[in-house]
Amino acid sequence: MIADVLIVGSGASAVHAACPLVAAGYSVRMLDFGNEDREYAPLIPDRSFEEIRRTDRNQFRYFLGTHYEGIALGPVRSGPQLTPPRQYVTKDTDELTSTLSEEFFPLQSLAVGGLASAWGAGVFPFTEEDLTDFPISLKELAVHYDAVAERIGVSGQRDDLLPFYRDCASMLPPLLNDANAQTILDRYAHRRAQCHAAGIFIGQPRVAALSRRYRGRGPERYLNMSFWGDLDRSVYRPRYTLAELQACPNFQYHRPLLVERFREQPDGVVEATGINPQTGGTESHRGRKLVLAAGVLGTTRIVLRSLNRYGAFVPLLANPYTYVPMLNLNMLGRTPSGPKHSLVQLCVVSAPRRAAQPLVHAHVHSYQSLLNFKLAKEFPLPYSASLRLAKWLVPCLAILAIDHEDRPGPGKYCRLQRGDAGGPDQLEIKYRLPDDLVRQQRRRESVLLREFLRFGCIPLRRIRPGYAASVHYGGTFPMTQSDKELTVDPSCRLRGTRSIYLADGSVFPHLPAKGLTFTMMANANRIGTHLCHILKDPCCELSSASV
Amino acid sequence: MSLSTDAMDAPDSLKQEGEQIARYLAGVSPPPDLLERYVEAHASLFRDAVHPAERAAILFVRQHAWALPYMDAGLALLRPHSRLRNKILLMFALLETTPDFIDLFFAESASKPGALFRMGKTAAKGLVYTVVGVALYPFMVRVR
Repeated sequence: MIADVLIVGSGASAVHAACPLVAAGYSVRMLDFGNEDREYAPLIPDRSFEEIRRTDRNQFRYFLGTHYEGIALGPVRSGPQLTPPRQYVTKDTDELTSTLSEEFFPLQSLAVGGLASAWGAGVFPFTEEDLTDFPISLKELAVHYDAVAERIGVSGQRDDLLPFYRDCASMLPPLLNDANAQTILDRYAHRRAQCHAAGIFIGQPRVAALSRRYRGRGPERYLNMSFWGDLDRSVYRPRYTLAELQACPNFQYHRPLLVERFREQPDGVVEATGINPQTGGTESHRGRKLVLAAGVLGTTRIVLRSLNRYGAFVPLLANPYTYVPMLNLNMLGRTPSGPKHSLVQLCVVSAPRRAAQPLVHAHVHSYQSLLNFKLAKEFPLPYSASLRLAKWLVPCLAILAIDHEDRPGPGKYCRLQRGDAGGPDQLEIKYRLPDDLVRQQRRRESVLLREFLRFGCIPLRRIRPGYAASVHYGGTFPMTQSDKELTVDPSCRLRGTRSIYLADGSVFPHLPAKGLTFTMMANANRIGTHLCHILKDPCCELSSASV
Repeated sequence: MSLSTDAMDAPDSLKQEGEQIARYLAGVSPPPDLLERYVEAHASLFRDAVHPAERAAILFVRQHAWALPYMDAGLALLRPHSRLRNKILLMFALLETTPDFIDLFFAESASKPGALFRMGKTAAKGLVYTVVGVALYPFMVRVR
């Protein structure tokens, strides 16, 4: 049976592309590899992190993993936040979606819900300035931001960050800050005028987590267990939307399938072909339209393979990322009390005084629901000292995670290479930032750190964990008005095709410093809405560039 | 002492080693089930062959328990991801996920100067061990 729309992937983009189509009554078939955690979720008690630590004798099973995979022995690369119960998110990717690189070690996912099954839940809408390089305006995207926010549930505050985030009509009250973050916010309140003069703005984070019960989920119970499980279903995961879609008769979720390529037939019908990992055989599915939302690198593989563009260079973007553990002197000697959650506690914007400089976006985290041994590993001290030091340090540790924007450049690209001897194709990735840009970014970080020093937060070390560590990738087939090959038009239709649409980060021509996930969801909702119009009236397709 | 890799990783040897490391970190003997986990984890985490210098370090501290803090400290600077350091990290993680040892990992409240003093004292002591450990390391790790 030919579906109206085939969607590849089940992550943040895929499910939000599907929603408008399913609501409009079109038949949608989602093709997914679909890994899930079947091992850990049943083991984790419905209790707070602290209570579990004090009482559960079996905690080692899920905190360290049944194969002790939670004890990372080497240097930290991407994804240290992937605890054993979250590691299913990246399962099988080393073998099935391998990359070839000396400096770029991306996280990829073949899981139900994709990488957003372990995301930090940051909801940061782009402003008109952020969208400067996009061929779409904020006005076009605004309605989709609102639709997605209403679907996923967003908590936040209208505070000093409002000009950078725009308003959200359905916003729930903010999550409560922990004591660590509150001391920083209090110090900021005292220095607000000076901070603003220096271009520094701090406020409550906008997060896809629920301070109140919403659409059958939540509210946040402050169990401080978000790194380990979804006990209170407060933090949004795409699988919740997937479950809602599966309740609709015109939606079909099909797994396991690793989609490898597509082929457009002369009549415009698309055939997506992949491998069923259980049988080893190939399967094909047909649809009138195809939406690729397999994650930036997954989508890149499928497009280049389908168009037989092995060896072609395509750009690659990834937000440069630095994190800085800071000693918050305001917390010295205090034991953390009150509500605790594991998500971002505060957001920080460093807005340039000179318009030519890009905005820097940062988050403040506490370190209260990960284990001390991971921290102690980073100290150049004997472990007996590190163990005792970590105990005193953890309550006053604030982690400042700093994201910078990224734009296409000559040192950043990827290309698909044929696999050797029947092995899987490999995506070769080169990624290097120019030295002067890195210096400029470090200067911007120093401005932020100086301000935090005035709040009583002493930076201990500045860590650049590697180019792919932000886990925000994009830009391989950028959306643009100009008619260039290996790009998409403003409706995100792949140039040179009639029916292939890309709905993930691969279409972002530029990555602002804010995380892209929420905008990716909104854009996917826009694509889904656009496809509704096209399927209803194919004449719309001719003018799709003006969507 | 000369041991084959197999003998070095025999369960009884590993339990003895685990007990030694737990005493170093926590000051007490660990319960038997924790030592079982230590042995079990070895099968998952340490499958690769060990570098001769790292093997020598492990054998040395097994024979000379007094040397463990200095060896750990020296390696913290010289080979932070060496096998011995990773074994200590493993025991750290096992202790941390055992409720009996929770007081080693959760801070109690203290005055600001008190907390600063304790942190400073711990770091200073660790640095002293590190300096001594780096100086002694070449003598301790002669490949045997």
